[in-house]
Amino acid sequence: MDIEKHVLLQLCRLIGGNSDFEPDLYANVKIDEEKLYQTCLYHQVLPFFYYFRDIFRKSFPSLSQDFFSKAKNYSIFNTTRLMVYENFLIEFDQQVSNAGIDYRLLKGIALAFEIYEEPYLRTFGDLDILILPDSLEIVNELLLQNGYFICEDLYSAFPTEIIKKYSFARHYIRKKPSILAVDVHLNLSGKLHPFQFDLMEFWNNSRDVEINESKFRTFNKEYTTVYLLYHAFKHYYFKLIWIIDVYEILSDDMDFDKLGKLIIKYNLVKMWNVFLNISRDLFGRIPGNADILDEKKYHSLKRHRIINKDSMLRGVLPYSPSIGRIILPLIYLPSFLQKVRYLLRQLFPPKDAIRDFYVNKSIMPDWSDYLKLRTKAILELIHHVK
Amino acid sequence: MEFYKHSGNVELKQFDDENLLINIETGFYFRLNEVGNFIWPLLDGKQSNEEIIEKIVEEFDVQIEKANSDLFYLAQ
Repeated sequence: MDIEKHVLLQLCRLIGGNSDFEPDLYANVKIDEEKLYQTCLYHQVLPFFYYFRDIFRKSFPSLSQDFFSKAKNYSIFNTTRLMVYENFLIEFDQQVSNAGIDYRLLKGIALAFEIYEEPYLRTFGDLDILILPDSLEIVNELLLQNGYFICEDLYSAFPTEIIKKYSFARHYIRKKPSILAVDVHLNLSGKLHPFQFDLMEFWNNSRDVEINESKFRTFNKEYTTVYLLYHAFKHYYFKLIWIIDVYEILSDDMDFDKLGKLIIKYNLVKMWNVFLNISRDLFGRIPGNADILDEKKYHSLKRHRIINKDSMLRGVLPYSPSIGRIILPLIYLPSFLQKVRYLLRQLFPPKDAIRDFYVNKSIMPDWSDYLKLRTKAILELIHHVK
Repeated sequence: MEFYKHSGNVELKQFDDENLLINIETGFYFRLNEVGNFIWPLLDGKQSNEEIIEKIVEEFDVQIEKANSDLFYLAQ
């Protein structure tokens, strides 16, 4: 393992509450600070280096003052960003309330203010909000009135009825007076995703989260944990911050019996056990009263071949996201039937969810073009696997 | 007489040992130095710019022109 990964591992151990390092171990070690800086940006953990700066200065004396200054500047940037988002959220909350619309805050900003020692520690890019599908048109209108526009991405080509039908997220961006991004989710996972959730169960198990003096709705902690666990998996655990989120929320007050039942209900047992494995290796401990579930199927906290401490610190899995999207659910879906159904849906998605039909006017949404596009996609997949 | 006062979009935020002035609409921020920390509480809309300049001159032993430019810079 290279030295930059050791530094990241040390960071995880600190988050896990372990500061017993051998002070001379890294005394004469040269660190590639640019590489470390880029890695920290990628994993969204740079502000932790400011927070733990005294310990890092002792443990890695070769780290320069410039590196810590950059970490501080980034922490200040996060602080200002949080204030801008908070300001927007207060106005937006008032507008949607007046329109009689309810919503839930997901991930970033809610976690920043609730489970981290300092809000600036939780770097995030977008404001994630969950709405009920019936509210999409009104929320869309409000965001457009606030200077947002729909971001050009994978889903921007889909008409509203398809967005609603398959629960795709919509990404909005505002450029003035500051760059802000809002992701509007219609469910916890898209309809084509391998893992599905009962939206109303999550919706009805919500509570207030306080952001300074304002209150916003988010899920109860057990439900948030289930969502975070799924979200980390959905993105192939590519960023450390997603693992840290789960670790931190589990270290808070948590009803582990209730959480365990939810994990089993939503088919996330394998992911949970993999998380505990990673947690033990990264943070040096398993948080709270968390315990392995369903030991018959997953005998021990054995290190996973693909998703483990080293792949976490490296930040990438040994295959592309498009391949990962097919392979990982095939590994983690619990039953053979679910695996087969998922594979078929990936290879042959519904005709009306094929993006090419909306962005390319020369491709008509008929069966002939559908089969051509599918053949092309499968050949690309086979080429990647080879 | 002219009076500078705090804008509703600008908030003072303490970050460890530093005070930051943050525009909560644009995200632009400004790190206050010793002079800035002295001036900021005086921008309450009750004290005229001349009175504030007088206080800066007295506190930091600087020329009126320098105090005036510091006040103008912060107010911008």
